[in-house]
Amino acid sequence: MRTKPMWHRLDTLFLFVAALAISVGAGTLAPPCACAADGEFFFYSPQVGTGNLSQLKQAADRFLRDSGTSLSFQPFARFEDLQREFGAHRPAFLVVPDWVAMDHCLGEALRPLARPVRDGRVFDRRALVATNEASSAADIDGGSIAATVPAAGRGSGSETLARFRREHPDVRVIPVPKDIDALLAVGFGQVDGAFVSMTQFELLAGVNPALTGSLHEIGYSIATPFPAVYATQYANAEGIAALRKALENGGDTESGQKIVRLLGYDGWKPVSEDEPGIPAGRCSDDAEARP
Amino acid sequence: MTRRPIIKPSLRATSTCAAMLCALAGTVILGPEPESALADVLVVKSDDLEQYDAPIAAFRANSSRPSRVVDIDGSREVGTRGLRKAQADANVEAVFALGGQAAHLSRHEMPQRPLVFAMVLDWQRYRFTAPSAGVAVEIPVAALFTRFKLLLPHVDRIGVIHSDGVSSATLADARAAASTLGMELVEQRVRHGDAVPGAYRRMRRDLDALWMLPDPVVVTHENFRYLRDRTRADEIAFLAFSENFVRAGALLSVSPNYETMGAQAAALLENLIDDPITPGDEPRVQQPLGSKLVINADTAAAVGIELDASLLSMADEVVEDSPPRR
Repeated sequence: MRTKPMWHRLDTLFLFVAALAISVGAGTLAPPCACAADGEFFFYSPQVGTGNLSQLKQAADRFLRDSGTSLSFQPFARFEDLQREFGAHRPAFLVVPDWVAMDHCLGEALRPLARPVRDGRVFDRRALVATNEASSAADIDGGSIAATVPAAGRGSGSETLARFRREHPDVRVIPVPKDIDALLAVGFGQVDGAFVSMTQFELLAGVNPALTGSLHEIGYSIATPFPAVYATQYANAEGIAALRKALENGGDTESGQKIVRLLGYDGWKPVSEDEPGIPAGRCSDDAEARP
Repeated sequence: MTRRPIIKPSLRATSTCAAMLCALAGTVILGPEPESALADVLVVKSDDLEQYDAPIAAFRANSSRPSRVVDIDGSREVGTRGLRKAQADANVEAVFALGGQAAHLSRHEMPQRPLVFAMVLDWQRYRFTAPSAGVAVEIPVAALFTRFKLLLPHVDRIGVIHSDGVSSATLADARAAASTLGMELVEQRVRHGDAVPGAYRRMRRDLDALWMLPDPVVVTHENFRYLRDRTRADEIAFLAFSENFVRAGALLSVSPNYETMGAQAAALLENLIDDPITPGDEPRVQQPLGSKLVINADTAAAVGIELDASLLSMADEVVEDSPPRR
């Protein structure tokens, strides 16, 4: 019987070892993640209670993972904290309120990717409500209203509340933690008015129509857009495409459905790629958000 | 002998000196008001408790009147000395008292001063005389049940176990509130704490939620543990009146927000000063406007309740880890 020559067996061994080395080397030298989008995803929304951020992070991390990204979700209780960390961490994506984006100090430009939708709308509305006995804000002069005190910024509601204070200086504004507190306070006659989210008003109307039936708007209405998803200067085209797809398909996955339920939305509405980015606002020289 | 020259002051120097003397006299006579003439609001607290810090800060932030804090340190003797000294140091315009002891002592020492109280349990028993106003500790049942229904829309039957110590007015309010919201109140009365497990067993099949009242006959360590464990097993929402119970395993609690109480007190004080109450009138007492909602996520999962945006937007705190059950 003829045996294979030694050199043939050595060749085979060599080829095997070479193949092994190539596969190991390829694994060693390959990028650590072949995912389309990676980096950090910062989040700030005054509509999300600060006690709930850990729940939100768990759900968001899972959604981003299920969507094939390696983005790390980081929610912030205060905008000042997000702004401070922006320069050090250089997140690729953000969710921030409109009034932040319109005058931001978060890198060079923010590009909107998607806006949340609720009942077909991309905005909430805040307004002054009072009992049916009051026909206008003048009827509550000398009285008091309850209001959550919104953060400063155009479109946040703080300017509207400030205008109300200027025009009705005799009305005391009692700060309360939540819109539902303000609504129940005016509904049960503890105060004369409440400056509240109309989404919360509608929510209460669904549960206690007798209470809300005694209330109506008396002005000082302002539309407050829901916080949108933005790409920062640190996001690349591939990452942006991946996140757009994840948001578009979010409704098809359990984790995607959970995250919109947690945030109180129905889904995401994509923003046209033609929409221009929002340049940075007038930032002070020591703005920490500047890289 | 050389005579010392007589130096006659010039007219200008004389005038200047006289002016300086007049100015000095004027400073003494017409200068800054002595401290005893300044009006202060006394913020009197029953003890040095952390819970008083937030309402005091909110009161000061929402009041334009200067104030000073007196801590009676839980002692009538210390408090009396402190209040008398405070009155001697400054003209007291009004009093904001936190805690029953502080409010009672302040009213006793300064019967004519406007008094606003907060964080006083069962304020009616103190019989505060006019002019008085306050912020109650209890959230009214109607507001409480409305919040429950917002948070848990599936709840149609809400149970309550109570002793004879619970006022009939509270129960009547609860029945009315439940009816308004399309819910049914299922009641079980007990005479002693040992009867609570049996009461629960009789009602559990009819319940979506169990409402805990601050009833010392019902709420014992053993009864709480029993009800906590049984409601979890039966997937019934256990609604507590204090966040401590939520941390120990109840589903959620709605309690007053103390910071808001301070802001309310500031508004009440202004009203009291501007629109004094007639002697003999009852105190103007408001219910707490702000609330604090704490939810136990572990318990929510155990009873099949999903923490959605509606719940989370209203929650001030979500407790994730419950202590191990004994």
